[in-house]
This record gives sequence, structure tokens and C-alpha cells, in this order.
Amino acid sequence: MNTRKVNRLPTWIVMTLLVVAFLSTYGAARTPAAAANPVTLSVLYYYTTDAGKVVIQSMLDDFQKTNPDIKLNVQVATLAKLPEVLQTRAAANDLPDVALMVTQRIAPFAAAGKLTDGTPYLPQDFKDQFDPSRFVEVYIGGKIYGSPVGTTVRAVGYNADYFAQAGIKAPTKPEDAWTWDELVSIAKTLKEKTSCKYPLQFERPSLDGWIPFLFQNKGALASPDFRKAAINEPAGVEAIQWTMDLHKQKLAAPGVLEGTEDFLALFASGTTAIWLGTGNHQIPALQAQMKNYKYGFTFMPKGKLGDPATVASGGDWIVFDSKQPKEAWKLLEFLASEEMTVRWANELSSVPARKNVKGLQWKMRPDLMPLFVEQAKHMPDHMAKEQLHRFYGATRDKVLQELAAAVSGQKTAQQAADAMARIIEEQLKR
Amino acid sequence: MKTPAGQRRGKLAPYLFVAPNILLVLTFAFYPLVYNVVLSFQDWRLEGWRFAGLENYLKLWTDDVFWVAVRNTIYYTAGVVPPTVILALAVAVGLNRPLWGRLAIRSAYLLPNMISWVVVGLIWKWIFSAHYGILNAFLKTLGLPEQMWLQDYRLTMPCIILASIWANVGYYMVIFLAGLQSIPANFYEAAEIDGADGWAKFRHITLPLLRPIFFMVTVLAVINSFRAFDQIYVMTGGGPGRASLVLVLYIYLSAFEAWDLGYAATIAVMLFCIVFAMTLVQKRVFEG
Repeated sequence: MNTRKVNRLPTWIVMTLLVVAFLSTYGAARTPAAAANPVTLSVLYYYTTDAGKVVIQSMLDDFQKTNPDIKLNVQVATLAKLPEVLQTRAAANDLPDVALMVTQRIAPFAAAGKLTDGTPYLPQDFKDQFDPSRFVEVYIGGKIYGSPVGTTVRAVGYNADYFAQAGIKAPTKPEDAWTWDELVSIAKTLKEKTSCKYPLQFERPSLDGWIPFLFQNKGALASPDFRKAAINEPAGVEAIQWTMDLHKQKLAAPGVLEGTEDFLALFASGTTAIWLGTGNHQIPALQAQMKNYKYGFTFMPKGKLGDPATVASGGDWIVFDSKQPKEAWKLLEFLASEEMTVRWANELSSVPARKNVKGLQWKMRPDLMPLFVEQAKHMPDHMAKEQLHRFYGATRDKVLQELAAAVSGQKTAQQAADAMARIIEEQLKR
Repeated sequence: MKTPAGQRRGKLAPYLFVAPNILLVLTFAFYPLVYNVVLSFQDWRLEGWRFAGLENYLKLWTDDVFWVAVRNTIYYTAGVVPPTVILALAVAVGLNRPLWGRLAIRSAYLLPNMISWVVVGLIWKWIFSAHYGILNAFLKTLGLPEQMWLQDYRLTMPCIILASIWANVGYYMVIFLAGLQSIPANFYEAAEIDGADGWAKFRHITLPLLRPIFFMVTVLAVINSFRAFDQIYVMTGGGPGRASLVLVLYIYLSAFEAWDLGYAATIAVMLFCIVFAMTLVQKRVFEG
């Protein structure tokens, strides 16, 4: 045998193996995952708590069991990661078939024609089965794009032990809700009479948690006709100033609006006594983590508006521009069914978005849920419209940054309000 | 003796070996780079995209937030690079001698660089927590006032800089160590014979011979500083307000929160230009 051929044979074998390995990896990556199944639906959902993740997954698993001919390819994201995941998939032209979305992100997709109208696939009375104030989130231009899930209602959480210590009784009716002055006075009492470090804290870094206070002061982000910003009018500036003053007086815990402190740990550990703008969605987490104190909920305070204005919203299941619309809407109908709605509400302490549900037995703190049902009725109409307008989803994080800049002393209330107005108007003009 | 065909095959073999890697680099590095530049000339929306010409670049010049991010990035770089490089060199010089436990000490310095930047951010976020952090607890035991570390916009960036220096020193220390160990020992012996003390040896032997390493470390440190993202995202998210917003974070927020891919691509192009210009300046300085 030729010696040269023997010496070079291993070289050629190695090179061939390398190329084959590369090509097979590349080829496998290109093979559609759905090739082996007749119908595969891509599902994307977000979660805010571990309990939520467990409940949603159980719902999807149940659908799979009863529909073995439809395979679900599920992707999960945290709420913070959802915009990134959606944007990446939209850019790759790979949007899921069905997704759990935050309300504020639905309108841009609807405007871009990326959603499927479910009217041909749903019963005629589907729309009428839901709370109209929630269904409007998915009913755009006469088309049904999905269904709302449980409602998160923002109110005021409080440390019941501190309240008892300070001799404070929380209002149990909306007409008895505190005014802003009463809230500040109660905060000062709590600071004197209890061991809390800060009597107040705001919700996590989220504009949704702060917006009610803007509306309580008769302010708004945008004008009623959505032609210009309204945040930099006197009512808006006052609301920002009020928020800043609470921090300056060391009544409100720093770091929450700015996003540098753990908002749940602050309240659960007793560092703060009142949690402004939180809601029923935190009950599972509070049950798990607030072991050393009892907690309760009361109504939002009343400002100049004279009403305890709040935000009541939640996620929505929607169907994107699916290649399998029939199966996608079948899944959505299942997820929006009364049985699944009741499971969601019972397991996650949520207010159902459906009307007249039977079998509601909230597992956690059923004593608090009637308050949330009542509080949900106090969402101003214009606030609801702002939440659904496409400018809100695109601007709320930037607007929140301006609020954080004001609260941390980098800007005056007027400067922050003017910056917010510029951000909002840039989007209103698009 | 090789035949002409054999010679050709011999010349082809190296290219075939590197071909898979080159394909990967072209696919995952070169193509995204080119596509990014193309994207910067588009107005990308969910409905689709349109050619926007120089619109994004013009928007950049009047975007206050962009200039805040540039300023913060330069502040971060100026705060991280000199102390990191000097500290890394000092530690490398200190550990480049027979010491008891030298290996363990070197490993201890290198460990922070082994962990993910997200973990670095989380650790330091807890250290700097105004309510639960050990730093404030330590200040309290000394009778000193607690600080609003990450919430105080004047202290936010210094806190992030400190975390970054802690995580970076070990990596550059290893590079300096390799450079120090490549300096022939007889240079130092000759200097000792001539009566040179430690400082003289460092100034006249170590530093000049480490010049290429110094340049490489500085360039790497500057480039890495301009790319900082993970620990800043975790510790502050760019806040409070925009006190710690850096360029890469602004790219991320523009792309994935504001959903303006074209504008995000434009910022990325500008970042590339800034880093490229700084690298050229550094090359001139070191060559001079």
C-alpha cells in the first residue's frame, strides 16, 4: 500500500467527519419541530408568581389531555422579559399562535394586523359572557382578538399588626376611604407608634401602580381626545410633587419606584406598614412570605376626585395571526371557559373577568375578595381608555423613569412632568 | 515528492479545517453586524418597515437620553478602567514571587471573574441595599449614617463601578501575570548587580517590557466597559431616573421596551464608532 495514502487517510476522515457534523447540526436546526405532529400550537405565556405559573401550566396540561391531536409547544417568560420575547419573535416572524399578553401590548399588535379575529370560531354570545370593562381590551374595531383572564385590582395593603398597635382602623367602604391628608396623617402616626422604618411604600417599579394617584388628583397622562399630553398640567405636576414629598419626608420607602429594592420583602418583613397601589395579585406571594405579621387590604385613598380611583386590569389570552386558527381558538375558548376562569380566580385570588361564574371559592384570603370586587368599580373611564391606547404600552417605562428621576431628586416635579409630556406626545403623533 | 494534485490538496486542507468556524463567525458575527447597519437606516415597526434614510441618525443628535447614556458610559469607563488596570498590575506584581498560598490567593482574585455578571449584580445589589445591605449595617455599627447607595443618583454609578472593579481585577491580573513571567529573570539580575532597587527595576524593566500587554489590557478593559450591561441592568435597570443608563442598556431598552429596532440599531452603530475611535486613539498613545 502506498505510504502517502495511509498517512493522509486519517486527515481526510477527520475533515469529513467535521463537515458532516456541522451540516447535520445545521440541518437539524432547520427541521421544523412540527414535522412529526399533525397540529402543533405555539403558546407563550408570562407569569408574575410561581403560583401563577403552576396554574397556567395545569390549564394547558388539561387541554392537552382532552385534545391529544393538538400538541402544545409552550414558551414561558417572566413579565419583565415578555416584551423582549415578543419583540424578538415578531422580528423573526415567529409569533406564537396563542399568548397570554399584558393589556397594554395588545393594541399595537391589533393595529399592525398581527391578530386573528375569532368571531367566525366563537359562539355568538361569547362577548356577552364577560365583564364589558375587561372585554373591551380584546374587542377592537368590532373584532374579537381574545379573552380577558382574572382581574387584578389595585388597592392599599396594610400591616394589620401595626394598625392594631397604632389604634388605626382601615376603611371598609369606598365612601369612607382616606383622603390624601388623612393618609399622610396616618403614616406619621404609624411612624411614631410602631417599629416600621417607613410607613408607606409604593408598588413595584410600575406606572400602573402609580397612575391611580394621578387620577385621584384629577390628572391624566393624555387629553381626552388623545391629541396632546396632560401630565404636565397642574394636576399632574401636583401628583408628582406629592409623591416626591412623601419620599422627602421619609414617609415613603426609597428604592421601590426606582427599582433598586425588593418591594415584597420590604412589606413582608415589616419595614413598611402600608403598601400603596398593590393588589389581589400579590396575595399568593404574601401568603407565602409574610409569616411574622398579619396583613389586610383597604380602599385606595380619595384625592381631589373624591373617589378612590384605581386600575383594574389583567392579562388577556389572544390569538395571533395563526396558521391553525381553528385549533388556536379552540384552545382559547378552553382557557376562557367558566371552569378555567374559576380555577384561575380560586387559585390566584383573582376577580373573574367573566360574569355570573359559579363555584367561586377563593383559596387564599376569601375575606378580602369582596373589597377587590367593590374597588374594581372605581376605575375612571379615561384611565381605562389610556390603558388601551397604543401610546401607553410604548411610553409607560420611559414615563416611570422620569418619575423615578423626580423622586430621587434629579428633577423637579415640573421638569419631570414636561419630560413625560414630550415622551407621550412623541408617541401620540406616530 | 508531492504530485501537483497532492500539493493542491495540501494547500486546501487548512481551509477546510477552519471552514466550519468561519461559517459560524460569518453567520453569527459578520452577518448581524452588516444587518445592524442596514437596520439603522430603517424605521422598523410591527406593521413592517420602511426605508428611513438618515432619520434615525438625525434623531440621535437631538435625543437627550442618548447623550446622557454617552456621558454615563464615559463616566463608567473612566471610573472602572484606570483602577482596574492599576490594581490588576499591582496584584500581579505582588503575586509574581514565591509566597505561601500564592495559588490560593491568585484563585481568590480570579473567582469573581468566574461568576456570571448577573450574579455579580445581585450580590452587590444586596450589599448596597439601603434597607438590608451589610454595608449599611456596618455603617450603623460604627455609628455612621446609612446611605441610600443605589437610590442616591450621586452614588449609583460609583457603586456600580466598585462592583465592576471587584469582578474585573482577576481577569486582567492573569494577563499581567503571564506578561510578567515572560520577562527574562537575567534582566532583573543584571539590574541588581548595577544596584537598582525594586522601584527602579519596576520602572526601567517591568513597565517598558510590559508595554504591549499594558496596551492590550487597556484596550480590552475599555471595550468591555463600553459593553457593560448585565450588572447595571440587575442592580439599577439604568436608574434611578437615568443616573446609570449606559449605551448598551439604552440599546436594549430601545429595542425591547420601546420596540424601535431601527433606532436601537443606530445607537449600536454609534457605539461601534465610538469604541473604534477610542481604540485608534489608544494605539496612537501607546505607539507614541
